[in-house]
Amino acid sequence: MRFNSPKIKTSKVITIFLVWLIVIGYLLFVIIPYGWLFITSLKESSEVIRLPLEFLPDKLYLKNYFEVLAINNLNNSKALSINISSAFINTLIVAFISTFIALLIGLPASYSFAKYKFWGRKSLLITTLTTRMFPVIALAIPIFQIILKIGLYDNKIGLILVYTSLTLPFTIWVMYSYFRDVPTELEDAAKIDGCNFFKMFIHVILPISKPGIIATFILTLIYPWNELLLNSILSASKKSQTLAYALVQYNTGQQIYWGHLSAAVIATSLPVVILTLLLQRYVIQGLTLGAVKE
Amino acid sequence: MEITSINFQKTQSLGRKNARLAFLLALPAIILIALVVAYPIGFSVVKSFTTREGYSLKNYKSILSDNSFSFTLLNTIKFTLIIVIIELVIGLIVALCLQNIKIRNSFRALFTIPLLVSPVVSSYAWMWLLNDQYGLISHILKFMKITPPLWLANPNWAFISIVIVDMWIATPFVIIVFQSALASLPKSPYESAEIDGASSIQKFRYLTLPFLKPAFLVILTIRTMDVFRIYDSIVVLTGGGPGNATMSLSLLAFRTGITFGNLKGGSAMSLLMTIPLFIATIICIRAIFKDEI
Repeated sequence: MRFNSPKIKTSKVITIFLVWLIVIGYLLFVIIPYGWLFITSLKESSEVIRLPLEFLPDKLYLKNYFEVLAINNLNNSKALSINISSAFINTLIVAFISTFIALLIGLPASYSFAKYKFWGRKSLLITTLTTRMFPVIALAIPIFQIILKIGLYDNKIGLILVYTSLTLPFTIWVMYSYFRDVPTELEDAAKIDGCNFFKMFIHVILPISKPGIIATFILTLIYPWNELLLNSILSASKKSQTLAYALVQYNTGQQIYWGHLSAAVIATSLPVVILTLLLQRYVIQGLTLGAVKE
Repeated sequence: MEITSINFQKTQSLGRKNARLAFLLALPAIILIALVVAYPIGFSVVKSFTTREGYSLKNYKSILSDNSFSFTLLNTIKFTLIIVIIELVIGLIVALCLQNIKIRNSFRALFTIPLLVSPVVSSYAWMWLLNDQYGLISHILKFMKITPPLWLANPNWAFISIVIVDMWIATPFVIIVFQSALASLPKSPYESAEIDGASSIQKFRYLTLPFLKPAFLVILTIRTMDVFRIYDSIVVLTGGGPGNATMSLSLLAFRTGITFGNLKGGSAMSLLMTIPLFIATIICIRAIFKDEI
């Protein structure tokens, strides 16, 4: 900026103004839907549907949250009230176990794909990556029949099996691009020191790949947490219903109890939001890994 | 897109014993994927060709001659084109703006929330926002003396609502990928362009855009695949209605195969859906891994 002519200055001011306008505008666009839902969750049912609409609740009303999260007897569910405690617990169990297994199996596999040459490597890798593209519905119909046949219908173990396998291609996809960038010298050095493969993998490769593993962990965890289609096919009762499907069932087409529903929705996404904000560096790395190499 | 300077040695050739180890490491993953992904697909393919009189193309023929399938296919293509184009444009604009802001990381963190929160949750948030009696948007429109439309009950507005919601959920992905690509742009071409007296529009046209091409290709294929499979937001917001206005292929295949129990028809339909996705995947894998695989 050698020429400090007034013209350049005004255009610069306008640019900065526009930049901030767009960024703040987009931020509001992102925040408002959740914000409005959050405000609604703090209102009493009668207040939610009171006209004229008031923006803020009369008083802080937290009962919606207690009611939707109360752990009650599974058989004693009132038809109208919303309760998601069992779905919440199911989701925690299914999501964490399937993610853990997916990493346990996926990490060595992706390292092997990234670093070693073996028979069938290329075609196996490409097949693994292409499985990501199949529409879930194309898998859901046959998976439904198989799960029924092996007696895992409406069973958390069945869900864990399915989710683990479906997240594996993703785990391999992300970790493959990560392990490619790990210098092979590290492995050689460990070998010279007399480490066998597993020692080397656990003590050398895994620690330096921590950011990639955390990123993969979060993004793999999200899948069973949010998944709707398969869960709606594979579960029939509160025994194995996870959050997304449990929430969809409250959309009866008739009256929706928004006070309750909004509390349920906010409570179940809060863990995800907190995780996103706390680990955002890793999340963003994971989302762009495989897409952009920095 | 800077490829790491310690340019990684290609894959190692190992001795016979170690090659076996490498294969064994990948084996559990391969078996599991084969069991739950590959076997079902094979199963689906066989099913889709099965008819009472043996194997034939009858299931496919009956789907292709069905009006609701062609209508839904067209609808899904419309969704895909509109949503992906809007996302690319908005995503690029916001990413460019973020690049000019110092505290961009905090903004970026907040922007990613819709991407990770369940689409079911986000769809509910919008459903409530668009509620014609108590929704915030309708309320604001009424305040401005505009009669709000019946968002989800009117075929055209329902379509637009789905577009808005899906775009809202996934534009953050576009922003993040573009922004990471922008952050890794090499500096020197810009410096020389500066010396040559290039305008910022010229720099954008001849430097930034070409550099963004790989990121653009990746976003295009990944998002096309995702929107083509659109399901969750439609189930929550409209259930495919009113009428068939917001029906998508995934939902139609679900209805056919699961709700109405026509497994053969549902399988055939979901496999037809896979063909364009397959092409997109191949392009995507090529773009990401280039000659590295």
